[in-house]
Amino acid sequence: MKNKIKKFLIIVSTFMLLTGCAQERILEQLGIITAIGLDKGEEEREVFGSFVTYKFSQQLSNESTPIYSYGRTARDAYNQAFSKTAKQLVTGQLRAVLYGPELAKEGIWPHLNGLQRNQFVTDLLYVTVTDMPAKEVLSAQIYEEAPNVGIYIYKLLDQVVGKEQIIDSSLHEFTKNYMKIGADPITPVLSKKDDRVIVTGLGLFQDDRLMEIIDLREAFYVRLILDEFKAGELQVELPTENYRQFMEDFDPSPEEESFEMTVQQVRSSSTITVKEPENNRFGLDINFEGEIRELNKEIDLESEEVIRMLEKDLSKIIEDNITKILEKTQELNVDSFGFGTFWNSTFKGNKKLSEEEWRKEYPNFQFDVNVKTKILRHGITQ
Amino acid sequence: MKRKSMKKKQQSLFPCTLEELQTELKEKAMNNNPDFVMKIVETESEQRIGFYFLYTIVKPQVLYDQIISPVQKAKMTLDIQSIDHMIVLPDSKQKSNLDEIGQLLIQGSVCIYIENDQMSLLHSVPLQEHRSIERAETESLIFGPQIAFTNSIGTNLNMIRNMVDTPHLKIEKFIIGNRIPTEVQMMYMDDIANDENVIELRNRLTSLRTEDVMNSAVLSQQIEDNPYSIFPQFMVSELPDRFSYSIKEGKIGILVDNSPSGIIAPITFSSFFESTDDIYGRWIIGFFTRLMRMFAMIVSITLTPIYVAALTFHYEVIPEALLLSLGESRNRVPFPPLLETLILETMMEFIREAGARLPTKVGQTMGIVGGIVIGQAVVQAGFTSNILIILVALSALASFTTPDYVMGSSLRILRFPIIIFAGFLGFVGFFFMLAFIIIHLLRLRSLHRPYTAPIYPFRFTDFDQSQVRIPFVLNKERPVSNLPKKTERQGRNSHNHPLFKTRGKDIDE
Repeated sequence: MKNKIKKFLIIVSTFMLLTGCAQERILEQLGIITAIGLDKGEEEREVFGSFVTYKFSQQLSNESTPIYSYGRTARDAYNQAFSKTAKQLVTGQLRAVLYGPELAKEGIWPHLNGLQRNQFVTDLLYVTVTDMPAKEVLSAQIYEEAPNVGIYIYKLLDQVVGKEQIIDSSLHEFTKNYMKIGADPITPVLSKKDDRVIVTGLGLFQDDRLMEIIDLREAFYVRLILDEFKAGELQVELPTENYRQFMEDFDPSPEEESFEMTVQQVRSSSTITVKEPENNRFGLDINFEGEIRELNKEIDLESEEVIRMLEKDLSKIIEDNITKILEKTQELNVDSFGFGTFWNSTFKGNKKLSEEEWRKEYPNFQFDVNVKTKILRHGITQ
Repeated sequence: MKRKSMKKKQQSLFPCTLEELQTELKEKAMNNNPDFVMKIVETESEQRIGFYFLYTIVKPQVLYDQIISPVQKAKMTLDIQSIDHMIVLPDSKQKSNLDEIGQLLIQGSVCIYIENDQMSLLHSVPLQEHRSIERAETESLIFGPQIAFTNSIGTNLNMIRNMVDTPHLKIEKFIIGNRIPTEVQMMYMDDIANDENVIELRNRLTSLRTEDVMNSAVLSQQIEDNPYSIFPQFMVSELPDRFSYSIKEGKIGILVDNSPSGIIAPITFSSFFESTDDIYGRWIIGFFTRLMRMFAMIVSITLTPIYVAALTFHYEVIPEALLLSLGESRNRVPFPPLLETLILETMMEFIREAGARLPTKVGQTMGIVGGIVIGQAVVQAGFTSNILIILVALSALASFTTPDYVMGSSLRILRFPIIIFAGFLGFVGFFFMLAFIIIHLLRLRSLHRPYTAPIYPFRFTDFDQSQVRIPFVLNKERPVSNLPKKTERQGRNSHNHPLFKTRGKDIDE
């Protein structure tokens, strides 16, 4: 019995002593950061940070102003921001981090690795760049039903990624591609238009430096190479010339030189193979399937011939676009698609690909792009 | 030595006159009780026969019809044997010790004494006023007989005998209590119930030394394995159908005189979440409700502690859709989440306790005042967040789904230490306390049988009769956790029941 009381007392006193160790973070006393914007500061090596936080008051208007601060690094800017709010700033609900264009061109890794090390920050955080200062983007005032612009950006990117318009770019993906020799990271590009945040394209990085921004149309082809589609959508422009004879039933003399076609329910898969390792020759096979959703000219879709022609043209357009993007990346020496890793894997462990070798060789890589297109259905027309 | 001599002195009272016996009984044995009376009957053979009894505790009708009237009508000379033959009541004793006579008189006997005889005759005609058989109040059922035990052990035994009418039902009688002896009956199926369990329970009952046994709830606490535990280790049920069902499954039942409930042993943790309604209803309903009750139990002890832990320490785990509404409602609250929750939980207990103590008519008003008025006002005044009100109400509701009231109350009280731990140490404290409870449950025994039985030790075959409920066609064996002598259920033919063999006919065939 005495022993039991002793044991009980030990447990209780341990509990009492330990209570001091846990740091309290009571919800309403926190400034919960949902998005961080980082820009180049005025001085050399200075960072300007914008921190978007939750506001828990119903009375105040919807207007949100981020907290701004300067610092030597992102972490320093965050620490400096402490003096500018009565709430305790925490990063546990961080959803997106935005890098201004100037900072991004210099390299974002120094400002990113702090997040990557922080155990409170989720790995699924969106890493993005902006084409105007991040401060500008975060000061957008229209963010629909979202409680603040940070959550709005998160929902926007979720929606865009969900619709398979761009590829996923989480902190995890970014770090992985940055660390890996043979691949370069890609991030979405955000901008502000009419006081709301929009996605404008993809930023191609060389290591941690932003090299080029491509628009959403091109982003489709990036995804086509890198990832598979399950329910994407593609819009293409086709020349009228070849189809003139099939259109005459509906429209005697189509005047425009081209017409638009939208393909939906796109399913695709891509396989990258190393064809001739010694010549750095790669094969890129893409299977592309979809349904015709929209045609702004009427064509006799009943005939097999038209479908074959459409499939052929579509393949050609996709091949051209992919080749164009590949050429662009080679020009910039940005291996966004990770051909370097495929190349590396052909060495079979005898030697490792070195950074210099990869950078030196990438512009000389040769690609055989081969697209197989299949139009599954063309919808009910009658 | 002194006592012995006193006894001798008392024994030497007989033979005596009726009046002498009256004064002796009244002063020495009856403590001058005012309800002690003597009636003298003179027979035709001019014998004076005295009847001594306490008129508050004997059945007057029986006393007159069966005892006094035959003696009165007797023509011959009577001695104690012939009187005993005349009276057709079962329980008769012959005594000459004054103390023993007094003891029997208090229990409702009548003492018959022929003047100047050596012995007196005692017949038991006790009057026991009790409620008639009524609807079960604390454990209400939807289907089933819906009757509850009464205060009379005779009536209760009668109900059980009727429900389990087989010679295999064995009943053992014990008298417990040094000052106020109480009758206790232990019953089990001698061909099914495990011998070790029976011996263990019999030992506990016979070795129990206590002044008195108030009722079965008290007795169950006196013979429990771990009296310090928060969990009940024997089930106390007021439902005769549940009691008899348990006996038929191989458990042991105990009935106590003057107690409207019976003890069932050994018991497992999950059996507190079973109700006979699960068996009366169709299997799929029983299956669902049993799982639901288990879920409700987990919800009731974890919901508010999780709220406290998440809001005090772990804002990261709150889903982004919930964060804003939580933050907004918390914004006006002046207390930390721990205090806020403790206040509201205590308030909930006030309402519950007030509702239980007040008369039924006022109790309902109390519920409305407590639930609606206070609940609404508390949020409006910014005392607590409205999300917490929902959580507290939900967990209180969930705790009331437990069919056993004692277990439900234990779980409700258990919530408080978990909340405090969660408030001081976050999820670490929460899981520490949860682990503590689980360890305690694992160590707990009921009649030396594991308390958490079908889960640990793992007995898959018992899940179908504890955690879930399966159709009777598949229910081939008794739960092995009860360690029955026979696991196979006898003479089952539900699998080849004639109903399954006929094809059935349509109306035009």
